[in-house]
Amino acid sequence: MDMSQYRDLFVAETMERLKEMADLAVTLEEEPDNRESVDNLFRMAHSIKGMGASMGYADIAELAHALEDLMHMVRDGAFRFSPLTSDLLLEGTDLLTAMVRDVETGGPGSRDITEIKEKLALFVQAPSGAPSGEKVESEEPAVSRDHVVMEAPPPAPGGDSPRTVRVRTGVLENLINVTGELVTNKNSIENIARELDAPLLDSAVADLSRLLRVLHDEVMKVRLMPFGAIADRYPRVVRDLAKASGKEVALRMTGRELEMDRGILEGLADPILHILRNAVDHGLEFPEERQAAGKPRQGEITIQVSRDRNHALIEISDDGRGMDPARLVASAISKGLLEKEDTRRMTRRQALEIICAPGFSTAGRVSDVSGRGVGMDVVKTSLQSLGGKLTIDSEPGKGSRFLLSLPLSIAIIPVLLVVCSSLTVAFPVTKVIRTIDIRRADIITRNRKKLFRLGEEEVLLASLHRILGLHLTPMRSSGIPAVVVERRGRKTGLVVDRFVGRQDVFVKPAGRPLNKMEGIYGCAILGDGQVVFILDPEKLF
Amino acid sequence: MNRGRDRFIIAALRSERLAIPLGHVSEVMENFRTFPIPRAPVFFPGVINSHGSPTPVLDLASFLYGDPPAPDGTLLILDHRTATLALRIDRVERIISADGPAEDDNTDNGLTDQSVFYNESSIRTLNLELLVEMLEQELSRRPASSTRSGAPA
Repeated sequence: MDMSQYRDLFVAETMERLKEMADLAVTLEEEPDNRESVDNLFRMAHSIKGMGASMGYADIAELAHALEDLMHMVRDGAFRFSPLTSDLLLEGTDLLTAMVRDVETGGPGSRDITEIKEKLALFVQAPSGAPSGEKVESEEPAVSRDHVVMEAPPPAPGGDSPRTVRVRTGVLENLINVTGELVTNKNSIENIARELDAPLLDSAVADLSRLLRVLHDEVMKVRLMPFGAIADRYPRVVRDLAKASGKEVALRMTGRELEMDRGILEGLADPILHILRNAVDHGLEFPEERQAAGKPRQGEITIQVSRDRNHALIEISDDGRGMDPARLVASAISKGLLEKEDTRRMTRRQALEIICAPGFSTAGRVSDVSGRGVGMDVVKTSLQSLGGKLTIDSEPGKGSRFLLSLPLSIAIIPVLLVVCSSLTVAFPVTKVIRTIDIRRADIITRNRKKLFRLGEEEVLLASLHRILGLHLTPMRSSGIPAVVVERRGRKTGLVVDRFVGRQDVFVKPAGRPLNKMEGIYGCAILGDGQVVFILDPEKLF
Repeated sequence: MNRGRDRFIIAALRSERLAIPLGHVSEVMENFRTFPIPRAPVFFPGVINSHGSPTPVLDLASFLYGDPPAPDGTLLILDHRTATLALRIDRVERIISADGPAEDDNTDNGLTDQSVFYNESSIRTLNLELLVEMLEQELSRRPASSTRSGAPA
């Protein structure tokens, strides 16, 4: 099997994490009590350990494990993060960077990690700058930062040039933004050309418009990738993990051709890896155990990818030992993560979600494959940041099921633009059941509520003006335009001034602090440079 | 607490002056066009298209002193790592390097809790992190149905 594509992905992802780790180590020197940074450092070390182990880079996994141990102790309060901790972390990440660079150029990713491991071991015994801490500082560094740079092999001259280039989604987003700006500028030129009454300029602007449309379409298209782009490496990963754990595992996968936004796919690669790793390491039993329980010796993990309207559903299930909600609750209480009173009204699903709490683990041991349950915390937060959600189901003795629900595209969605008083706003088309012009005669008043008949159903009528706090506009037409949306399973007609039409837009997140406003799905910039808000009817009223 | 010499934008705001850490500001803009924000409080007069990034405008005087939002002025577009936000002020008076901020005096609920020295006078520094947190709290509350930036004048 050609491992180069997995290797490239491993290098790119690990390098990103190592850079973030180094940045966080420096930040923590100034803010040693920043819990979030400590947690992030711990997770990143854990993640590198897992990726290194699954790719067979033992030294990388081992060193990352040692750094993870260091951060585990900081996180548990065994000692406070200090400049010495930062030095060790930076030394470790520098060495790991050199090892990953070695992998990048086809090397084994190996280095002598004995000295750094000894330093880390000495440090965790006396971390506060006591004698052994001083010893750490006074020792000649095993690998100084300069040395690492010098030792890092240069890019192979005349090596194979890559057939594809890994592009950061940030670069693509910039391209889309620039394209949007060009469209805005083109519209301005169009207006000037109209005023000048210059046919030659009109013709040049028309050509520019056509080219911009092509550019826009191409930039948008390039963001879509099949799920297989990240999933093709999973069979090998599962195979290697199973081998390392002494288990027999088969991985079945369907729906790898489903296309999703590349930003979402890139963000999904690691969470899915965590779930697979946990499934092999903790979910599935050893062959003998399975036989004794009347199951086939070989465990099974299934990844099913499907589409539900504008969402991708990724279901990862295993036929392993499953999880017992009562045991999870008891464990969380004993660890001090939950109070007994908190658990009284807890549903089964909520109990299962305890595994996503930071610091929670059911693992009896810490292994190179996974451990400490840190992965599920990462999975949940990663999915949330992608606008998705995680649902967990499990039955003791039968297995577990993780359902990841994500938008297919965070970038481009069709919207319905409507005008309401002074505002132009948009609704995602997927949230609109239909548009309608209601005749005044068809409006019924019941219990001080306005209703109208839609087929056999009586539907509540509400004013979008009132919901948005706008002044009501007098209606001159005989029909009342309304957008019928569904909210909590019930249809509602939202009265607007007029419909503008449907348009594909690039959704931009509202950002901090506007993202705290309920009912705002995001923003979009129209061709004329106008900023419109996309409303989420579920949370609007 | 003294954090060494930092650079600040001295912003004129009605009869007041405020020091805003320069490192948190990515751009100063004078001519801008805003678009209304549905259901936003009155101190958010709209959103601008800042190089393809929708950026809400906070009228600082309106937020801090309850003044009606001003139609023009100068925008300080914050670095995106701080927030997706532009602060509307009356004008930039100048950019200074200052010793400070000096000791905490805990005024304005900590929103302008430290001072820098400029022209022999002490100017309070705007705590941007706290400002953004306060805005988040304000926006996460369900808004009342009146006085929105989307409402016509």
